[in-house]
Amino acid sequence: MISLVYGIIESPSAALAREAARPAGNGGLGPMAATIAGGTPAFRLNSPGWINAGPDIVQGVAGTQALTEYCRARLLNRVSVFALALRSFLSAYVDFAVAEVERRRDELEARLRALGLPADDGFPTYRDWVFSALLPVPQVHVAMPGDADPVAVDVLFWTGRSALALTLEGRTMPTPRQRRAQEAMLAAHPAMKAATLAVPADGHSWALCELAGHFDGALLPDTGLPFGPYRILAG
Amino acid sequence: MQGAVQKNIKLLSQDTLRGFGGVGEGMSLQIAPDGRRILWIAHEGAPKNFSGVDVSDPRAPRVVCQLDLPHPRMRSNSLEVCGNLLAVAYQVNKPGDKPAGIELFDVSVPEEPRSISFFDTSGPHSRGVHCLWFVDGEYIHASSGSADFVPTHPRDDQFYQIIDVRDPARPRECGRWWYPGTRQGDAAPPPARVRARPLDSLRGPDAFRLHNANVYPDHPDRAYIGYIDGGAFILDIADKASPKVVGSWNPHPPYPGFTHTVMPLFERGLLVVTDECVLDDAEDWPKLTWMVDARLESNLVPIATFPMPPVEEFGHKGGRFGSHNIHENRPGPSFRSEEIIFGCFFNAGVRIFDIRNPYRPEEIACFIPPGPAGSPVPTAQMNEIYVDERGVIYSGDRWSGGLYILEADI
Repeated sequence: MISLVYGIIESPSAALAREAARPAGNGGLGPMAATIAGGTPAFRLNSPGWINAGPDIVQGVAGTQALTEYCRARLLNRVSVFALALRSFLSAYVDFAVAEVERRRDELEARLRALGLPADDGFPTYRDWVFSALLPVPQVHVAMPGDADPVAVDVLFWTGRSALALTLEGRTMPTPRQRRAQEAMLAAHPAMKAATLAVPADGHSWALCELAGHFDGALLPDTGLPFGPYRILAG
Repeated sequence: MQGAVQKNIKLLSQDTLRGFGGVGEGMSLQIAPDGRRILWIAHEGAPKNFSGVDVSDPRAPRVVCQLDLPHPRMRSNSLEVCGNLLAVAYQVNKPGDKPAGIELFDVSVPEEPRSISFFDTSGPHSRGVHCLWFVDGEYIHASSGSADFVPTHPRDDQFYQIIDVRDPARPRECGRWWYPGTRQGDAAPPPARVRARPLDSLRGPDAFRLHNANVYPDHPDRAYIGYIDGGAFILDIADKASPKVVGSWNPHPPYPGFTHTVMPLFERGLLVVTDECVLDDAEDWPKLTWMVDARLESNLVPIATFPMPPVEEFGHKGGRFGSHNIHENRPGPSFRSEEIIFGCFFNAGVRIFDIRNPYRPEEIACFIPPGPAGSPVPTAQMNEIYVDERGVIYSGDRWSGGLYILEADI
């Protein structure tokens, strides 16, 4: 099992201890913590648990585009205002997911038509598949066995089969202790793989196609219907 | 090392540089054509100019080159190597003396530096170059006087000069900026002194002049400069002939002056700004290292200072106590981090900080050697620091201890 906390965490060990003492939450994913076991479904933008939002907010974010922007804002809200590279990545990732849905528009509309639904202007629309994109869990600290310190990961994706620990390679070189800690994390969690993505020189042209290659097609699943926006906010 | 204070740092070796162990503010690492790692070290003062130390085996450094200054009334406090080109700053004690400026050497053969050219910045009111930055092989960013610059105050003589060395045999000035009011004829009035001092010495505090200028090749349109009592500036140098201020911040007064280094952390929108301690016995305490929010260049906001050891323990134990140089994330064979900061703090030694939470910088390692033999003060005065890409730390004592090579467990 992988236990983690994410977001703006000042004391990862204490946060993990607090989370460990809580009763199990929404299928392993909470607003600042997660547990991943063998049967844990993939973490996606439409997974319940990562956003806590009441009915008042639900009513204020009607429509696919508004909800997409709401998801983007909630992702950015989870990370330090000084994590400029990570913030740029998260925003670019949301744009990439939107573009990926547009690229597959014909295929996705065909799925809706096959179910007798209007392809574009109904509810759901093919655009709603954007919420099926994998959730980039940001600023993660992964618990380690024994007394070892939690290990920091820039972004973690859980595909339902494996976890991808993504390091954004920019201007910060890892220290020897950080290198050893990441090796220990991968050894302790066989379901976890590591990947790196270079921070682009211009700060925003991320090589996200390269990243998508790590997901074995799990970036957008072949679900019959896209899950609608209220599912996201139900947590 | 007996008598050293250490936390998560161990000493690999020490070299007193053939008995001339006064290290200035220049340390720069060359990977020589034959693969050796040569650390070039500027000396604090005469009689030595600079030393080249083979640090390929950091446990067994070896001086391979040591040059003398032309005369004892000058110093070469600063240097930088880029490829096989070494730039050395020459500053004279008295305005008008020579040589004052920058000498460029070909150090392809580290044992035999070959002078390529000399850029003369001498003049009736100039002491030449105090500090220089040279990391792109094309431009030197220097703190210097010049023949045509008449300062409104004798200590405000060194301003920001950009020198084009794309043809290293013929360096030429291509831009300059100075604090408004520090040059005679300026429309602005001379700046009010922060802590006025007598003019018996031009060195030291009470100055509105440039200390460090940092310019990074992947952000060539920005210069980050520490203007001593004038504070920190961000300049737009897209047009090198006409630098423009885009942001500034100055805690002096009420703080006691001497902004030294302004280091940007580009991926975090932060600056690390150091003030240099320049007086013994804590006379100018506190000299701090600041964390500044620079997400909006035009509105720089200080958000924290780095923790320092107790002034009651260090302030009066001898020599200077407080901030000075930091490892500056320069390109080349250099460690780069926007989360870990390495600094030297005179008698508080070498200290390493974790700044992942910039609101609360945390000290994670330190090393304080015992006072070296032959020093006029009883403590080590750690004056300069460089960290290579392997994480090997090089630091120097200002008076006699020479080079200390360290390894951190971080």
